[in-house]
Amino acid sequence: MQYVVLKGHQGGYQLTLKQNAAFSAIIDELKTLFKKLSQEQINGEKAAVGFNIDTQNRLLSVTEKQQVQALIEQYPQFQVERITADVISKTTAQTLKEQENIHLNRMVIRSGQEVKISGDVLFIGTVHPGGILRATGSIYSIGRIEGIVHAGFPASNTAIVVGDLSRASQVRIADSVDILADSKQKFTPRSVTYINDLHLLDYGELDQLKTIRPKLYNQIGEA
Amino acid sequence: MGTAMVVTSGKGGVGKTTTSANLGTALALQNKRVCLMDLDIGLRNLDVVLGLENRIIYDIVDVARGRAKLHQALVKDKRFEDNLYLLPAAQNTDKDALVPSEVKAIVDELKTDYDFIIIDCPAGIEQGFQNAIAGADGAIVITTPEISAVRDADRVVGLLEQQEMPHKPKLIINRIRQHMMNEGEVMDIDEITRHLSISLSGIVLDDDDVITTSNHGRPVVLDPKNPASQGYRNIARRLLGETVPLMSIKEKKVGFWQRLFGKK
Repeated sequence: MQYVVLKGHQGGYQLTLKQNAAFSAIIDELKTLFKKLSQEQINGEKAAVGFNIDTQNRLLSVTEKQQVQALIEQYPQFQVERITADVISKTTAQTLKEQENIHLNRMVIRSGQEVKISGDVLFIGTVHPGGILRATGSIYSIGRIEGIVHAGFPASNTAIVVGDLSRASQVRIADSVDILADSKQKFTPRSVTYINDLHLLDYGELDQLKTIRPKLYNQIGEA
Repeated sequence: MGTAMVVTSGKGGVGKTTTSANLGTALALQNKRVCLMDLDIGLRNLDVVLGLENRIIYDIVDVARGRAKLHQALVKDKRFEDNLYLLPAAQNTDKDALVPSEVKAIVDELKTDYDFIIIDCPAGIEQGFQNAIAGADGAIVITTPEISAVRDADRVVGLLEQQEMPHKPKLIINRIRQHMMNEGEVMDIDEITRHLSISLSGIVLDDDDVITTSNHGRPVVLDPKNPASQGYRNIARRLLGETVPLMSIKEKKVGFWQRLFGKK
């Protein structure tokens, strides 16, 4: 039974580690395979040969990955390009789902409370003075904001805040802060707050969103 | 090198925060550089009373944890040029978020830059109180003419005396209702001072404007005609001219009675 299959195609060399084999058996087989390969000159090339490793329906742990990588890269002429699998862990799946989704939130965030949301949020609740609504992505609010809204936490400059912030005490995006009590900025429910090219908080209308953030929501399906 | 004074009372609701805000403002009006420090972590409201709530970006816990520099966390009160600053408390952590040594380090750093650091202490005598008194050079004990407030003030004075500060604790009797004191229904000023046996720094009359103005984020002391404001202004003067206190209190007290009878 062969647990490790080496194939060459246009994109380079693909190494498939069979999912039904024990990991120790795979390691043994890799050792013999690469010992053999190292003695042959592959195409007489000088540059290092890269391998894409496919683990099928098996997820390698970090140490296992390192083990495989060390085994292959002990030969200077070989290197691991990437290790892929057909599956992802539940936590990764969950974070992916959280980041891709727009969360509907209708909480009352009171003074001293801080609500953190990963991904984008459609907010229909209330932020009282002294409360903070934080999102790693953008915030779309049709609720009542009297406290602080913080989009793109901690460092996503492309996040935006849509909604009426006329009662808000502060708006923050990534590391920029604007104290709204001091500004004469007028808001409507169609206002957009964003970070402009000069890395300053700026305000616009939803009609301009296409020019402000042309890529917004275009990336869906790519990842 | 400035002086750090902690405003404390033991009991809640006697006017620590109002006194901190007004005393700080009165000192700033006297052209002293003042930094107000809110240590009521989790239930901050010195910022609200001063109308600075919207401007807070970092707080004292951020400073203690190294997430922000001290000068970044200080909120300037634009009404008093460069004289009045606030170091706000954190709103989303609890009183145990700080330890006395951290507070002391911050106070010591502030002392190099300000004439007065007024520390607003939380109610109670637990961790928050220990933090508040850690860096202080002196204490201002607030009480009202109520037996429960006086009892708690007594307890606090006892704890303060164990602390051995460079300045002895001073007393402010707050929220005095003239007619009740006149009719002998509440403890009078002499009785309270004698009972607590610390020096009296001044008295403040109960006045509706104290509440009205603080609702608008504007300390009452800015209104020179208000009786409560005059009380705070006098206390500030006594804090500055260290030698006068008892004499001027007597004078003030006479003036206070005279004014009272003059009105009637």
